[in-house]
Amino acid sequence: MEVFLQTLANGVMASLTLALIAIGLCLIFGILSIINFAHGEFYMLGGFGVWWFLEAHPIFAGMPALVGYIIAILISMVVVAVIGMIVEKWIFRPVREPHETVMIVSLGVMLFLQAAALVAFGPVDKSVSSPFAGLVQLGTVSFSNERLAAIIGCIIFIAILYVIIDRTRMGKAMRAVAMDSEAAEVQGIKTGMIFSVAMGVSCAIAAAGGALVGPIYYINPYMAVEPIMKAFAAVILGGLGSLPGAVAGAFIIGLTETFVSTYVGAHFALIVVFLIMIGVLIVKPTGLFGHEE
Amino acid sequence: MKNNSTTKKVIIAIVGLAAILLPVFSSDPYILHIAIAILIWSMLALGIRIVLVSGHLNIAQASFMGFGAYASGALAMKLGWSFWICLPLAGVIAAILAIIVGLPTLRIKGAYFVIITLGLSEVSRRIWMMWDSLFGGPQGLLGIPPPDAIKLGGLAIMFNSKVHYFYLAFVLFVITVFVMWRFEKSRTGLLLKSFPKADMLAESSGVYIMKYKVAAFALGAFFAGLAGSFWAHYFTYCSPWDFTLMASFYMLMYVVMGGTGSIAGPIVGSAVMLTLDELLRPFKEYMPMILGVILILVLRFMPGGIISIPGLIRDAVMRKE
Repeated sequence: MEVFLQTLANGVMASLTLALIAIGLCLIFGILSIINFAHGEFYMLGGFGVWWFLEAHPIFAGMPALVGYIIAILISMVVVAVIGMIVEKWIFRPVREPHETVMIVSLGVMLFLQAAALVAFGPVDKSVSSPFAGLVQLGTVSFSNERLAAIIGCIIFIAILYVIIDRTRMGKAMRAVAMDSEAAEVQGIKTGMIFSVAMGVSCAIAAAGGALVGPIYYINPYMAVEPIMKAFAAVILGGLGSLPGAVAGAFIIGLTETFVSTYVGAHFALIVVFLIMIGVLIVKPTGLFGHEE
Repeated sequence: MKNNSTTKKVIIAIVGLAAILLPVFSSDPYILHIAIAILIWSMLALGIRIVLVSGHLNIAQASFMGFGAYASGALAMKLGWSFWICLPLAGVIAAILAIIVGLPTLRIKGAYFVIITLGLSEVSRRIWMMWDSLFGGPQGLLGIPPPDAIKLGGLAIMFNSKVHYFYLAFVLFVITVFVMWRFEKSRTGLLLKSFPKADMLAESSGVYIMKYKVAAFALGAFFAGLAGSFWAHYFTYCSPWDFTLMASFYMLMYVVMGGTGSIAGPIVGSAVMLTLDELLRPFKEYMPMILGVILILVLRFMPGGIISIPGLIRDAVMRKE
């Protein structure tokens, strides 16, 4: 039972991080119609961002640890968002048709960012000392404050994103562009700006994911390879283009993966995730929340 | 027009002859090894291209190569089967796998297929790592036997020198090119090319597009399986680290660099890029970065690839005159 609860808690954390990546993928697919293979690299850069500000160049060392940590996360998000917007505007947008071309271009961006991180930061795993020391004791299950903080952080970012997309004018414009970009343009929505905003927001939340969870595991140039694969699985499971679907998919994938790795074996987990993905495509190709186009 | 096709034939004949005679000019094992790599990587790149022309992106080509290599290696080592049986079987196994993966995913447009192939490239590596008894785990299969000698009258090909492997690779390469060429010229091939442009139209005119897409994917995987089998017996060794996503990216880059418009594209791409790769060996660690930039720049500014350069020059000259 203890193992079960422990695994459940870890599974929830893994699912929430996955959700941060999957939502961004989904947003980019919905609005820009791009399968962005480079998306995981923004998660990786977010992890390196906090490492840079907290370990490599501790410029916030004078401040209380928590404040410094939050500022580091926010700055990383902004920097990564800007990188993402540059990539979208100058690299993706000129080659949007046909869709295979932009997919290959995004692979190129992925390779470049990975290799650039390798050259800049080296292959050695980086760790960040978390400002949240200690454990929470819930009955017989102990859970580190660090992980609890990551869970809360992920929930906050998902909530903010929900409010932006569901409640603001900008969010409304984004949904309009996702539905029909030409019709949206006719209504006076500047699609180019919406593309930039969507890419910026997606990259920022991916970076937030990396910044929150990176320190718990490890930070290295290849840290996004597995999460991005699982995030793709989550997006397919939920239905390409559906944001609630992406979150639900992230939970199904995250929990399955954590439980299978704990009870069966780590190598097996990814295979199971893959089989689920294939299974869903056979039974319901549009995913759990998707609809026919 | 006729003139053009004659030129083409002459070029093919000259290049083919040069290739056949290569071992006569140079018995340097290093040169022969690169030549073998070019031939084998062209087979793999051609397999990616045939799927790409139907509007789908396969980024698990290295996995199919790996399944061919492992199937062939395991059959030869565990059951003692001859290479000449393992080779075609490796291709068939890779093709069956492609059909299993392709059937549920090629039904739907674009995105799903590429994501599934991305997943496959990682999952296949896990399978080889996990399955110690059959695939040797992380260290892979060691001591795969070389192909059995062929006796043709008095001539015996023992496969004890790179020259013999070169000719075997050359034969496999020629078969691949011939089959790809026939496939593309056939009704199926012409239909395939229409799919990216008029998927719905083809479907509504009664063409069952799934069948053709899966056929193309399976064909590409078949030759990847052959290439893998050859590679395993040539190196007498294969490991999970030989058939990674990165290897698939390289193959994809050869296709994009050479140009997707014709069969010659991936071959030229493989030849140029593998040679370049050897020349740039001192900068090995920067290769993925260079590769990424090349992919982005070529698709943006020269979508026709290297093969389109003569045409571009001709156009430029014409415009000046």
